[in-house]
Amino acid sequence: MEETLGFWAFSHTIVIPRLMEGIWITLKLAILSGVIGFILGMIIALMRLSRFKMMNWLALGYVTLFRGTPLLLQILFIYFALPTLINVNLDSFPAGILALSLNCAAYLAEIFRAGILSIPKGQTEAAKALGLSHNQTMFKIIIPQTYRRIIPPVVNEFSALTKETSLVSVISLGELLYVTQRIGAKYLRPWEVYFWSGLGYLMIVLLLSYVASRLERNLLLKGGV
Amino acid sequence: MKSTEVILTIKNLEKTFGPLQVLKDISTEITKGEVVVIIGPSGSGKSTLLRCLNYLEVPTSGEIHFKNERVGHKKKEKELDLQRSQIGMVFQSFNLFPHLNVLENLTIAPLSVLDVSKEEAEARATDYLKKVGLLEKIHAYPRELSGGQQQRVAIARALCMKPEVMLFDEATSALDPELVGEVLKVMKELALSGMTMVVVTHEMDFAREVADRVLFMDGGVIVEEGSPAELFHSPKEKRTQDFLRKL
Repeated sequence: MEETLGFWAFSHTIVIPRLMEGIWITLKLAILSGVIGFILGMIIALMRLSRFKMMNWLALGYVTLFRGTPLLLQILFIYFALPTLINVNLDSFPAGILALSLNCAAYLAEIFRAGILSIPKGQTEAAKALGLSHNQTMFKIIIPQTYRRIIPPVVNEFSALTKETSLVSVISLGELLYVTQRIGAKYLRPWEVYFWSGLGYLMIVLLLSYVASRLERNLLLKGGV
Repeated sequence: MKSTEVILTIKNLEKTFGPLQVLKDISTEITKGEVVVIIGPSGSGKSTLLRCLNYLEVPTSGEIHFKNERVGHKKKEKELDLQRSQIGMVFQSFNLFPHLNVLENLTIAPLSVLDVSKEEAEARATDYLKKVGLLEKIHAYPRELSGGQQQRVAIARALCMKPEVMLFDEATSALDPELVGEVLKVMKELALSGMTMVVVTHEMDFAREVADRVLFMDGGVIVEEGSPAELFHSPKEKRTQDFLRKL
């Protein structure tokens, strides 16, 4: 029956509606992991730049661990190995979010650290000379100046994250690639299915780039930093 | 006119960077309302001395006292921040905050450090911008200003904290020659208003006209000090004579 459907009819009636379910989960994974990874990444970056040696070591260890092992392994570890270690059984969705956030944070931390280090020393000195505390200097003077320069690498990382959500299909989370493989196998019409799925990822990343370029332009109008 | 109240005391100050000793046993006192100009060849330690006064540079040994309280040393960070807020500093490279407009540059420290009201902070900002002749730039961003204008804003920014003393670290050295005058004029007016000032500069005319006392530094020591008349017209030390001859 399905064999007789043409490309448009097959896409329209079967592929796209099913893929929309997957894309919704992919979006949730990407946005939630992105937000959590962003906050965690900022904390780790600040720890790496902290004056306390202990903090530096912890942050460096974190980055080394999560950047030095495959994300796929991290996902499998959290989903399959963690329950045997600490008796915490995570569903595939929270397990996926956890793995993606932790991994993304490691990369973002290095982007934030580079951004903070790129601000001239004179800015910190001027802030200190005015009596601003270490935290005030960081959050009111230094970090706001990094926004425009970290947007390109952060968008890079978020694009990578969007695509890496597909790895979570290995723990049977019904995100875009998982759904794609299922309908591809069911209808034995892989090319239409993979075509629309690829377009799905592309749309998310394009949307991200568009938002980023708007953000960059707005920041350019405000002082040009 | 001169009071005898000592604002800054420098006692046996030493600073080394690795194997390099930049400051050797510096001692002097700065009294309220005094304008002290520090001159000397580059590498003589004059900027380092200035930066030690508000602990941007941590002295290797020796003491700084600001209004009878020791600066920095083993202090809680908060106390050091408070001392710094009363010591204004103007840098060679202006160091305005580029993401903030002029008004925000001027109000951020009074608002975050002194906890003054928004109205008070903006009133101060307007007042000092008027004094440096840049009121019309209140909503401009730093990149829209010339170097001379940026430095005048930087002076106003420091003044908004109502500091007890102002430090100038080669405030005109990064400026195009035609912009030096407007900054020196602001500094002169500030000196005349009775502000205590410690000025590191290569502008000898400024030192002659405005200074109450001139320190000549070379090789990390204060070689000679005196009134501008004494130092410029009858320097006693050979190193001072050599330096002044080369100008």
